Amino acid sequence: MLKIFHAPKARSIRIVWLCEEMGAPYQVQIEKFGNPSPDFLAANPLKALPALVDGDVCMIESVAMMIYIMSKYGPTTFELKPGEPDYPRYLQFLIFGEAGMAMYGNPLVATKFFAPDDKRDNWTVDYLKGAMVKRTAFVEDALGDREFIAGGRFTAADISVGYSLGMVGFAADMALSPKLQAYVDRLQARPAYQRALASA
Amino acid sequence: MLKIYHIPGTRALRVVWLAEEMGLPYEIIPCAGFRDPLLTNANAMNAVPVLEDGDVRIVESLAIMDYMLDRYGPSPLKPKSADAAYPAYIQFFHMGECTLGARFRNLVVAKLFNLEGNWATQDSEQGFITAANEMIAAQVRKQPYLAGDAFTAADISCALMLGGGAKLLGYEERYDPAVRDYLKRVNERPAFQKASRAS
Repeated sequence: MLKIFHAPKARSIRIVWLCEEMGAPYQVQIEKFGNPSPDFLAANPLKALPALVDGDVCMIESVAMMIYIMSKYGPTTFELKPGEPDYPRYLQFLIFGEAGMAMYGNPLVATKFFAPDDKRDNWTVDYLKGAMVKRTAFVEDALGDREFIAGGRFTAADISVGYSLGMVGFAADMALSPKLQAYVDRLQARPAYQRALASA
Repeated sequence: MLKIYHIPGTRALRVVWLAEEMGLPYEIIPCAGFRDPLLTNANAMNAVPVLEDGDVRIVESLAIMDYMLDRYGPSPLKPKSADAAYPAYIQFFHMGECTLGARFRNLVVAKLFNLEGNWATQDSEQGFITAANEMIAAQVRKQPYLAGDAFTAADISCALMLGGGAKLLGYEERYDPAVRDYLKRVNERPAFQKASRAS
């Protein structure tokens, strides 16, 4: 049984969402910010969500967890195999969703919540917002008229990028284009996402 | 032939290092900075590395590495999913960029362009790197490499960032001695030395 440390709006939703899509057995432990439980601290000394425990396995990093869950509880159509033509693109967006997008949002969100009032507008904030605009445009360009980001079907790359697009508005104070908003709405309308939302 | 868009001192070195470890033929496309039109044409986000391999063109250093390991593997640098080392491998492989790389980037960019520093960069990002350093130290105290007894692509992912951070930010003395020994060990590898010279 997978144990997922989770909180509403955290990127741990990626893991719960994937488990719901796959029908993988899991349980959720909700963590409150600033008041970590002892077993969460033991699972992740960095105090960041998500953390995953699966028997003797204890992991952090949401994209790594998705790859682990798909390989252990698969095979599944939510990952592309190396032989499939769109595999490089799938890999790129699976990793880009976190490394190339969400991580630009982290210090922005931290600044919003924790910076002293007179430090909220600063050089780094402008730099990160600028990067978000560019990176969102990259996804929009790549998406084109496709329903999903890679492989012609729903995959973990959509979960990775979809979560990040969902947090861009809040993190970088920017609105998504109608096309990207429609993509996010389409992903979030999936019954598995709705069930994942209800878990926290 | 793999074509790697490269700028010295960037995470593009991860890809060159991996190509050297795997013994793959590659060609470096040197870019004259992030505004080089050559790079802009290949990647509208002006970031390196970019990989071209026949009809394939992808960005994101870890995605490029994973692609090379799958396309030109199997390789002992990527444990199989049934392997006991796999969970730690996949975690540290991603941690090198998501937890470490992205934060080092914000600190480096601020150091280069925003000399006064500011709250978001200094407090939030440095605190995280300190905690991650402790996590890595715990791992390399009990075994020679991040995933176990064998060197893997997870070491390339994390060591490149830790080494770069040490160089650009003078962080080396902040690292645990176990992490410093580990960095020395992986940076002495002939493939790393060759990759550093190649670029």
